[in-house]
Amino acid sequence: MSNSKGRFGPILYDFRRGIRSKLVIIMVVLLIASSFAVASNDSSVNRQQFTSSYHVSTAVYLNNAGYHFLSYSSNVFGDPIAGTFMQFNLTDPQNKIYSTSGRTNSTGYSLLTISAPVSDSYTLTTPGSCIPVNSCTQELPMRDPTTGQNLSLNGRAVVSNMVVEVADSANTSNSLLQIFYAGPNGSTPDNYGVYYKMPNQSFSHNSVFGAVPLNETLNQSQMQRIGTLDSYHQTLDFSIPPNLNNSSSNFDSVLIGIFAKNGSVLQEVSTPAFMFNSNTYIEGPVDLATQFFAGTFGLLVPLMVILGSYSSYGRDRVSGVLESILSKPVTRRGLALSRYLSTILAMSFATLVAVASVDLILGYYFSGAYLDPEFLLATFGALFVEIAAFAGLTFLFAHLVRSSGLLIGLSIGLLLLFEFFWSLIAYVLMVVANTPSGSTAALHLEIGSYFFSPTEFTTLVYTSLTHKFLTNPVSPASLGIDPASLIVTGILWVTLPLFAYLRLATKRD
Amino acid sequence: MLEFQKLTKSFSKKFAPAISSVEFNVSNGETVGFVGLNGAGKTTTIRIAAGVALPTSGSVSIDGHDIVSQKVDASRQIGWVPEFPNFEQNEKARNLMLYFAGYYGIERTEAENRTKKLLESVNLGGFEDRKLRTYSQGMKKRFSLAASMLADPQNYLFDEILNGLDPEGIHFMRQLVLELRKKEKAILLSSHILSEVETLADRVVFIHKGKILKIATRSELSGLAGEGKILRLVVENLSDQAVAYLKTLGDDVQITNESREEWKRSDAYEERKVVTIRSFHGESSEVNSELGKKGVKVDEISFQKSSLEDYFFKLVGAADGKDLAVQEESRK
Repeated sequence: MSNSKGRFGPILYDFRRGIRSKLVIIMVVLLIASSFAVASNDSSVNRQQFTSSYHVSTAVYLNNAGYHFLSYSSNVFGDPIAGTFMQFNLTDPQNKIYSTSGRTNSTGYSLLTISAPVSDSYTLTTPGSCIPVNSCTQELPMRDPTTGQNLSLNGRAVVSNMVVEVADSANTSNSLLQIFYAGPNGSTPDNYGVYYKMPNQSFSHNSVFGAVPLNETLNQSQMQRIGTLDSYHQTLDFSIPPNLNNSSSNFDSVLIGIFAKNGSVLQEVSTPAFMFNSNTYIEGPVDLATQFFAGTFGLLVPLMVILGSYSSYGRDRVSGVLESILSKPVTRRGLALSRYLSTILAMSFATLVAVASVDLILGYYFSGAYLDPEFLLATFGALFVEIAAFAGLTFLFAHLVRSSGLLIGLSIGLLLLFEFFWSLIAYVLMVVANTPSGSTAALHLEIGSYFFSPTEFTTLVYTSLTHKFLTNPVSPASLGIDPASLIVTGILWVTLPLFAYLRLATKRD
Repeated sequence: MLEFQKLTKSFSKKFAPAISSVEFNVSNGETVGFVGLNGAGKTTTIRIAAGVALPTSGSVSIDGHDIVSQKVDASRQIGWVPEFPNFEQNEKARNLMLYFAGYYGIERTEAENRTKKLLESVNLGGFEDRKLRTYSQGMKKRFSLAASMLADPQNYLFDEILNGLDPEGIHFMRQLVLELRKKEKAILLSSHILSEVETLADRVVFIHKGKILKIATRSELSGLAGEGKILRLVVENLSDQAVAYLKTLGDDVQITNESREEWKRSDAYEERKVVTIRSFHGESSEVNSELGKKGVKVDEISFQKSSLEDYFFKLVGAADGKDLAVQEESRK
């Protein structure tokens, strides 16, 4: 007559009820719709920050047939992108423009030619590495990369974006180097050597993967070998030297050079050491995702939880419907926990669906650049803390007030306080404490206040992950943001409202 | 079996307890009526027994299981039908029954069978797939009744279940209580319709201002008729001497004119009087004979039974009088 399946029935029923609640369905649809809106709204995306996420490398060489542009278009994993629209303009000093355009083929390549008079005074405009491709351009010097002389008819190529960082598709937190180069007259590289040299303290710059002429002549024998280039592009696993200081603040340059078989240097680039930090996430999607999850989700997920908690518990509690269940063979604690767990389970499931949708949308938008699993896990963990905290608070309020309107108003009011007025409170504290705005003390105070707001928990987690507080580079540990403090804060936000709610649910009518 | 032991419930320290030291029990196969004015504490007592409210002190034991400390075992053996059943409005009756069945650990197929059978038994067959918000108050009460019987508990708490029901509904509930009693169930029945309580209850617990005034058994209830016996006489030629005699036979003697239409055309209409003697003590045959001797013609002689309602108000009045006396005393 009775079995364990029957005993789980109420929890499953409550879970289904939570997930099928109209309010929850509306909120999940809103979450997913908002992710579409963010990804498709050009104005909301600062595309310049995704330069390193989407790549077009171009080799330019000159021969009697004209100026040739051999390009390779790839995504953040170095995979080819077919159909990329490419446009090259040569502009002479009189602003006369010679132009060509076309699209990459199925292997991501395009070869376009401009028949223009040979001149050493052209300005070349090429596609930049922006999202989407061609949304920006860059100007390239038409100079021989080693001699610094103007491009000449010897067929020697000059390459833009010779070295780019791409993500290892098997482990997106791992960076790989994608090398692109073309031999004379666009020929396939013939076992060219790729070498690197440790940072030269005297040479430091703040550009990323710049194809800039170096002040230093590289010598193959003084460098370490990374690999061999025997096709136009190749992805090489760059083992980070143990003594390389690749912290996010190190802008010292690692030098990378391509050498012909005879040992002569063909082209060199420098790149900041911090780019070899294995924890550097794919910048574009992560930046967009952190803004989106901490901002839009930071508001919508708690709102969904408040409405879901009201629908699954608060309304029943306030109206007295819960009594019809309490008269059944279930303890007060059992019913309270069952409703709470089924609610946060339903809300977590809904959030998981929304987060997965965002990942899929961003992945589509960034041509396969899905978010790192560790990043997704951290995001979900942070959102779970918000879910549990707001569910606990709404359940708690249901035992303190006797009207549905007051319950909803109190819960949403608290959310608005945490979401929109918390920084104001921090600012007032700064003024009261006479702390100059922008000072380290002010930053400590602001971040300290974030520990007391569940809606800011996601921001704290992202600060820990990205070493950025909002858009400013910071050292999380020096601000008290480390795994231990985050775990303790998360546990407290999950448990304190829950225990207070359970106390009232079991000890008060 | 339901056992109430020194049950007390206070909602606020500022006010007197809603119920105070309530103590009685309901045995298996017994129907106990629970009678009191509004606010007397009936619903509070029943809600504590149903496990939906917590006692301030004292306990309620359901088949030996304490409703607070052994809630699951206790609730398994109790079916509660509140005065105003309050269920999830947007759920279908069938689904809600299946949900409730989950708390009893009833397997799905069995739960579906019971749901169908029970809803049919309370005349809700065909309404299983309608949402409860579409149910009338009477239908909700029937649904509540079906839900209370889902696990066939040994004990029932019926709180004003007859309120708001049409005569057919009242008849249905009455038959149901009788059937449950036949099945040896323990039933606590609170109702404002005292005639129904009188008909159904084996015992009646009278509660007033949170305190038990009296617990009367069926035999005691029958005795109430003797205790409060009313003698009714229809007489002609009633003299002052006869009236003086009648006044020695009871507490309250009332004399009114004959009011029945059929007597209005009679010659003796003016002479006919109706005499009622409350708390009559004596023998009716002796009264007949004595009045005859005094020249009074006795046309009718009968007893009126005192109702439970009369008794209830008498108890309440006495309790209030005592309260007033106590208050007066303390004022002095």
